[in-house]
Amino acid sequence: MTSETGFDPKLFDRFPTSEPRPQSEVDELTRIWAAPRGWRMLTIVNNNYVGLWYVAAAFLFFLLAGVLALVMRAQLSLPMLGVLPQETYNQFFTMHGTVMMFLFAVPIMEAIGVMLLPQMLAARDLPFPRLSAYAFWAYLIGGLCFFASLFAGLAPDGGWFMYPPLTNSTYSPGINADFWLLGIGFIEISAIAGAIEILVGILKTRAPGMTLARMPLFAWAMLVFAGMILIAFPSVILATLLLELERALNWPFFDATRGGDPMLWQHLFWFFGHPEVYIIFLPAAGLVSMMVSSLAKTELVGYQLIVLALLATGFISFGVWAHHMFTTGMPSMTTGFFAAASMAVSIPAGIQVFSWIATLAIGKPKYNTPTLFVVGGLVTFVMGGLTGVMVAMVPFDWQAHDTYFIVAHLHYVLIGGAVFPVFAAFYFWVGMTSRRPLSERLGKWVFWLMFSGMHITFLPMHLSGLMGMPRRVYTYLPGMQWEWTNMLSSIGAFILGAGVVLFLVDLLRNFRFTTDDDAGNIYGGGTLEWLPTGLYSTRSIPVIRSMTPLWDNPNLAKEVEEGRHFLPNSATGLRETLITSPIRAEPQYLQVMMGPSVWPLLGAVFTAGFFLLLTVQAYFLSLVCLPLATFSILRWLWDTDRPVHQKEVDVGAGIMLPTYVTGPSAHGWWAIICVLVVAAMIFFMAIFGYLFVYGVHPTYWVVPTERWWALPISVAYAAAAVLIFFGRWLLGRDRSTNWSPTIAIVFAALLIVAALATDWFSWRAQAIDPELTAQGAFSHAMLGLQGQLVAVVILMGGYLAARTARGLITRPRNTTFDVVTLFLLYTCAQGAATTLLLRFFPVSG
Amino acid sequence: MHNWRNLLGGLLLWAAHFFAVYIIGSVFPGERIAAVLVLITTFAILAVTLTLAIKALRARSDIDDGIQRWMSDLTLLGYLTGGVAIIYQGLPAVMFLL
Repeated sequence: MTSETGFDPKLFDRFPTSEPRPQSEVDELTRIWAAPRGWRMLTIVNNNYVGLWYVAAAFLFFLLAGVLALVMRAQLSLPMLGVLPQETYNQFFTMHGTVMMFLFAVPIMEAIGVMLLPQMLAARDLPFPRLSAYAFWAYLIGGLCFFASLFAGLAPDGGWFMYPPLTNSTYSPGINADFWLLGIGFIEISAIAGAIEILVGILKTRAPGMTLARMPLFAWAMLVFAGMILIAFPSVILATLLLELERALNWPFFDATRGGDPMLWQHLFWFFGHPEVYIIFLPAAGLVSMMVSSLAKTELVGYQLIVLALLATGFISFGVWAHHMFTTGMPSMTTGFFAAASMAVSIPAGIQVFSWIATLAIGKPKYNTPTLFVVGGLVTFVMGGLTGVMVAMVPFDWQAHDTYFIVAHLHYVLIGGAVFPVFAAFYFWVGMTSRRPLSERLGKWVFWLMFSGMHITFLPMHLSGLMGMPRRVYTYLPGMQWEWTNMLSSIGAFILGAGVVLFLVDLLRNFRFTTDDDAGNIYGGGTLEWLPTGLYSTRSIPVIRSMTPLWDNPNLAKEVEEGRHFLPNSATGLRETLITSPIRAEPQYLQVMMGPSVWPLLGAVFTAGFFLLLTVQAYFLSLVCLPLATFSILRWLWDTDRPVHQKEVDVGAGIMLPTYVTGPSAHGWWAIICVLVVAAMIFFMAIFGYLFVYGVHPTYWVVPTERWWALPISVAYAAAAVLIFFGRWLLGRDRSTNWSPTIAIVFAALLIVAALATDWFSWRAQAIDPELTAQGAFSHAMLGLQGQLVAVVILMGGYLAARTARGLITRPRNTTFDVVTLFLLYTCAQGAATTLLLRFFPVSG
Repeated sequence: MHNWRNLLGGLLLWAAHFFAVYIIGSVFPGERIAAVLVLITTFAILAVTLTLAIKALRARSDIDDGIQRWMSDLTLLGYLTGGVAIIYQGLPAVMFLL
């Protein structure tokens, strides 16, 4: 057998070990991983708690958005009702869509990931527990404040996709749209933080031997999900930033009268928005794949094909964004490409559906509550998928666009593809976190109410749409033939709501949170999350030899509990987990993990404060929050990347692993690469926007003069890059002083600042006004993006200097140093690309 | 990284093809030259896909390691999926020319 890292796979044969392990090891693990009590619970970072809070918060937003939907259905049940005034109705449908998509659908998947993945991978926790806590608090605080805007009449009202020109300052003059733009931008940052945690966690903290071929399908789905977030979400972050700049500073990115284009918003939004549908669907599909196998009590049919389908969906879903724009007059052949991709993406979805059907067909499923939700979801999703293929056909889409047919389609897909699977997952995995399972009897009622309610609501909407009822109307005239379909939809909505209320009753009656005496493996799952666990996850980390280890080795739970696998104790006396290689999951090193801290919470509070105060135009207070947020985050980071006294430790059976590594093996390296992917995607989408508006309105553009400035600026960036490499080289040299490498980096940072300043002032001298044309707006925005990176570079330089002063930069290698150098190098590359693009495009007039 | 590059090869080629034809269609909207360029691009990328798939198929016969064989199978399936999607993606150009 070959190795990925040099680790000898024969060492796995030492497990399970035979010698008894003392009880004191368990006591020590319990002490080390104990969660604080009282008000200090707010500082908890254990995934068991944070994951549950995260799920609960996402479910709260589902309920809140559901209430909005019920009020809207009451308004539409009969013609000309006055339940809601028109303006409030606009806010309700905007908030319903926004909250469901941004505050429920994506976060619930991340939340389930944070809760399940460490146990499913047999990691002690995900690699950045404080990042999980930060992502959760930022999401909760930001989400609640965002929702509260409804009570002040300040909620956004331009629809969940906020198309300009409706949402520019002329047609949406209040701060309602700003709430959406800043609120969603902020919440997306939280989603990206969660995605980084999940992606690195899946690649680096799997149990030894859990190769890619043995990885639970939920982990595969979450891996693709996290990757898609890193690629898709930067687009909406950029879009919200540009629209906010247009509203606040009158920079015309989307104003066609000044060379901008409102279509650009649609491209940027849907480049995020359509993959978002799959971002929601894929984790749910992963959950279904895991549940189907357990519920049917058989191996899943077509594991490898499902992996292929997940990967293929992850790619092809990025080729379908413009199918939301078929009616906007795109060139016919381009429209054809998007139609083709929209149909092609149904193939991987079909592969998964057939795998699930085949598994249920060959297995022996009992029709208990999770099975009902899985099958109900399957039926509903397939129906939604079929109407999806219909609207992928351009001529049909022209007829159905912006009608209730689309509303019906998207709800079929999202409820069948995500909501029902999530409810199935609640019933299936509740035994992991509750002393008591949920009620089977009530559960079946919940399912049938929700299933029938869903179809009674949305099936007639197809007809409403085909009869011409447009979306987003707050009422309609009598005699349009829409009365009975709307009445049916409203009745169905309340039946669906009754099902959800019954589920809440079930939760109140039966859910009792616990971390140690849970109800257990009610449905006979075969994966690792069903091993006995405490707050430290499993007592020892098992060697994995199959996809369903609990089915294939009935003694595994006992072996793990007796500490006969990896890491039966705390080798360093600190929180720690095994880091393994991405493909074969070979042990690489022992990661020392961070414990409870108030700083992630404070960081989230102040970050939220910055964005929300900015929204309500309390600029001074907002600017006060910014340094406080920065300090909180730096203070939390200050505790990380500390030298460990033991260079190597015994992780079980005499296998020695290092406690510190750097470079591509290190989890920190993977995290900064993810951050740079996000930064690069924002920049790439900005270039797309720059070229797009030029392509649409070239007459508004002027050829830059004094192009020679690009030379000194690029040379400055290149010189900074050389200094960075020099500093990295110095770090490994014994003969240099401790300060030498850091000084090289600080000088590089200063050069980067000088390069940007030169770029800015020389560009300003061109007199290409950001308020007059889209060229001016984009060029200033791109320099602004570079300015954001440079601000981080300055912080990083200071942070590195502070750590050097404290003797925290280890030699010959150091993760913090690597992270800083990678970020600075990227900044140099983006800076040089920006200056070259601005000065050499357009080439001629 | 070469393991990941191989694993995702077919899908990366699909992505390259998709964005190439999107750019061509946007630069020459509604023009015959666009359809011709799209077809050329489609055939070129299909040829690359086929070449890499054959290479992966040949390499597969030498693999006796479980995970490598599993990844090799997935790679081949990826090329197959990518190839089908690329053909599909090229069809609008054929329809345009007809």
